[in-house]
Amino acid sequence: MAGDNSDVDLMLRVKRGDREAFNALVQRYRKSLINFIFRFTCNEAASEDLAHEVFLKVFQSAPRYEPKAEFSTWLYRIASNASLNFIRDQRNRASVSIDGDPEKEADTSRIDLADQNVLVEEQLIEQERVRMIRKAVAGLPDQQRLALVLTKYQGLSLKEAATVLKCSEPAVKSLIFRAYTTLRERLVSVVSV
Amino acid sequence: MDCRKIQDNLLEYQHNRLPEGLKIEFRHHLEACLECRSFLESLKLVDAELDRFGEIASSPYFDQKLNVRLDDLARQSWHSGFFQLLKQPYVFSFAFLFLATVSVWIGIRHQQAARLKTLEDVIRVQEKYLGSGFPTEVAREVTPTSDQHPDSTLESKTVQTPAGVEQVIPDQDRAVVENIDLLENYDTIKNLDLADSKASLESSTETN
Repeated sequence: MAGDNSDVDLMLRVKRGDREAFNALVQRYRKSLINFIFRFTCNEAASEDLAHEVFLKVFQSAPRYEPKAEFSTWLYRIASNASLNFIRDQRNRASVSIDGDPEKEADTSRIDLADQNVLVEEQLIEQERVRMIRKAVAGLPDQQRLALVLTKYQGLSLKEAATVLKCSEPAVKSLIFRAYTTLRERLVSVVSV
Repeated sequence: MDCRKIQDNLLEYQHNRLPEGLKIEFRHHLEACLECRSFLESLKLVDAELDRFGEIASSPYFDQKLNVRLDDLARQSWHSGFFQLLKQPYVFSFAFLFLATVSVWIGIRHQQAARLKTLEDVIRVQEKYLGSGFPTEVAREVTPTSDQHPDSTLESKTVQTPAGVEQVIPDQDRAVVENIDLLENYDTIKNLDLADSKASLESSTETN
């Protein structure tokens, strides 16, 4: 069964043109990859398309794949490059929508709410809070945001994050610390110390 | 350990990434230092807020869309591979020469065929070179050689008429003259033509 294999085994099979092994990898990383892109780009609409791009890139690059590092770090590296290109394109078009369409943002937040039975007022407050958090994260410099998303949400170790970011572990640690201190300042209205 | 070093490593402490010895040292410092303690609390609150970021679910058609794009990619790579191959000068030259040769050959065959649009044209050409009522068997016996198949005698560019006169066949008519099937059925065709003409004559006399 493809599901019992390690990532590297599956990837070596993909290298030989095995579509079934590729589908198994997609199943394994689909959710985490889409959410990684979503948190890094703060753009829900583009996340799925970018995830497609990343998986296609993985498939195309399979013949050149060498199992030197963890597959996940290789995947996140491709995903972070694709996301960075997307963010740069958006900035160039001067239509970056961190705030986005307020109604759309509200919809997104509504989907995320676990408890649908809370009062409307509480819901609105919660939505606003989530919007502010997302805006604060989106406002971080790219490297800081990438380090934060990789370690906080994707559960990568400092070493793995350093491989993705192509820097040293202390540098990653510093990026995360600076991200937290920036967020602490920006979320001062939300975080009641 | 000073406050600066403690604060730089507070996230490690909070995420339980510090070695046990350092952890105890941190705990002692935090118990004594209010500033570092409040900084740690603020980081914990930021961490808790970040948990609210939420996540999204993939669409139910994610896999299908991906597979469609993969199929497109495979097709594109085949096409690009083919055109890349054509970009090689010698492959392109070979393909061009092959196509040119085939085109010229088809053109010549077409020109020959254009002159013989009906069965009458075929019979006319055959009668011209083989003579009226020239039996197929006679045609096959023209210039026979002992070791050749009877059909191969038709490969000659000349043919003898019943009168024994050798006549050169132009290249464009050779296809007709060499058409063995037609030659073999020549008598039958002629008989059919005669039968048809007789039948039409009879029917016309009956009507009269």
